[in-house]
Amino acid sequence: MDAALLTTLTTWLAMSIRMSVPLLFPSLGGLLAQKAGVYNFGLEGMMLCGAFFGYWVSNKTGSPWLGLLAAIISGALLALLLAFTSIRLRVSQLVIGLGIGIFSLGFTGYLFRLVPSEAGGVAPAAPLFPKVNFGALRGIPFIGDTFLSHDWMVYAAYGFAAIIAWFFYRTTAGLNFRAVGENPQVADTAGINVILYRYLAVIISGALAAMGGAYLTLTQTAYFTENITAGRGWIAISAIILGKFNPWGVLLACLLFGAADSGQMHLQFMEVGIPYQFLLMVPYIMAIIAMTGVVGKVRSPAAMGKPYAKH
Amino acid sequence: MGLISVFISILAIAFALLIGAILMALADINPWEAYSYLLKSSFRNRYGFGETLTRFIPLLFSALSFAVAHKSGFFNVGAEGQLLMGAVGAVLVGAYLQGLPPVLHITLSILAGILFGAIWAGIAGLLKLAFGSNELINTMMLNYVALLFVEFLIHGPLKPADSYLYVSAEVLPSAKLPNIFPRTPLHLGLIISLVVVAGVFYLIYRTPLGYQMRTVGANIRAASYAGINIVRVTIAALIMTGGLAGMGGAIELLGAQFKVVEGFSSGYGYDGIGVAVMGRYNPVGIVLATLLFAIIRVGTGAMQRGAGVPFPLLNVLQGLIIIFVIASGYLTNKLTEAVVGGRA
Repeated sequence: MDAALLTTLTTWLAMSIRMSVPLLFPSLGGLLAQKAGVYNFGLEGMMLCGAFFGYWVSNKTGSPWLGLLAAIISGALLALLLAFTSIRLRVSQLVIGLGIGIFSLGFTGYLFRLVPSEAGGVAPAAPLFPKVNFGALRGIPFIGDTFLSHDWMVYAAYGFAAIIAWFFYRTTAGLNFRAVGENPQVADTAGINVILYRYLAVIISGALAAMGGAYLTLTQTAYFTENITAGRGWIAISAIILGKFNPWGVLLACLLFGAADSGQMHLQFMEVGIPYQFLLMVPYIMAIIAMTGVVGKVRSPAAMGKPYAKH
Repeated sequence: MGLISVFISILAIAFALLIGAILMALADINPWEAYSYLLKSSFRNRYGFGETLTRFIPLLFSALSFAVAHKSGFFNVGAEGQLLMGAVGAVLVGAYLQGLPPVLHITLSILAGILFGAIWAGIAGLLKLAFGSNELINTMMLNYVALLFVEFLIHGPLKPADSYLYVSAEVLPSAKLPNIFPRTPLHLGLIISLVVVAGVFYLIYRTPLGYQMRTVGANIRAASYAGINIVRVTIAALIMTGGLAGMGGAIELLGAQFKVVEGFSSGYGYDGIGVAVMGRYNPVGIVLATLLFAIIRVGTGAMQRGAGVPFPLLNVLQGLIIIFVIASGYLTNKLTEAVVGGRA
């Protein structure tokens, strides 16, 4: 293979992996919530808050770790609101998710405009997470550049997918968890605390979504911009369907979305003559196609979106 | 039920404004001063009043669009994109079709807007009918696609050769909606929008089609057993929800902005969701809630200019109102039980 092509292939693959991560975090979060029977349509808003608070606190304290912590707390708090209203008050999960999205868009935009800009009118940068140091392994041709050139959050996202798969299909708690989303009445009769499982699922899903947002500002851009997530919290829901509600499937779906995103970015650099606006449409159109049943029949958890009331 | 809903809505607004005040105080802005700008902007003078009613028009259309879809069991969060596409349809007819008398030109431009909006909603609708695709995600995705498509159009095909800005051509004078309140931007679209509200709710509550739409929305299985043609009713609902949003975009173009520009919509489509939720999907409620959202929208602009309040506070207030109103549905039921001793 000639060297230029190999370089392009390597950067495309490496970027595919990087671009899959801001989808993988919220997709895994959404998957957890949906498996437990609750629709988390607030993923986009939770990502936005994660992106902003990650950026802001990292900038203020100089520590991306504290930034990430703040991001997780913000996502979990929003998720607690979603959990309380949809589980306890049993209100429309769609509308509350939309409300959280609109609120977060405004809240992060409001706070960001209050951040004093530096000389030259640009917002201050946030300290980023460094790349993981793999030492000599980093020098392996192709493998090093493609797979060992990332920061820890990339490996964490893929690790989470494995952990969630193990949890769902290899542990009793995971079995209970799925039962809560399939048939809460039966789960309740069997002594499983349906409400507790659902709260935990939603709160963890908010924390994961916020990590996806924080990934953007703490590893990729170092800056926040308004609406930086650009619909990834919605695309994530499409990735869950494309992945057939299976953690490994979701991982592959996110990788596919990441590859497409990375591909359209490469085409933009290469100036192939397609207007950039059409290239930017690619992820959204893929999300639409992903839901047309290209992977065959998808069976969603039976009690998804249905509030549970003890009788 | 009615009075309690109004009471809850007022409480929701009060809570939202209170949290807004806290956010301003944390940013060293005097909330009283800022809120006085909000009130003054709509009621102090003639221009502000006219401007508020001008913003009222596209908001009302997008709220109606959301409400009609909701009644028919279709979750359309794509009014933003449908409104943009409606403006594209209207500018094609309004700016390029020459030599028509005004009434005909305006009518055709609005029809083009309705058509484009309906097609845009129709994509998500047909995907739902054909594949069972989730329309919430699809309409949301189509918003992003429409935004990018419009950006492409005004950077290229629709940009006049002599323009340095990224804008479309301006609609011809014969396609412009006349002003109805001199020395303000208020145009005939206000009257049209109020007629449309009445028409839409007449259709929903007083015609067989409306009855079928509501039945499908309330219980699709029951509607199917009752022999209602689900596909036909869904398509009617799609044409209405997309058409209304597209009409809103067309009227905004023909009456207020005259050109498609970047940021043409600035979130009217999303505001409509909040309006419909707050207005409890009924005609009077929606008109009142639209007025309130228009006041908040114009007022937030005035707060930004007068007191330096960042404009995204608008979305903070709207998001909080949605959250409080929807969460208070629970409280409404409890209160109603306590007051009248049963579910209203």
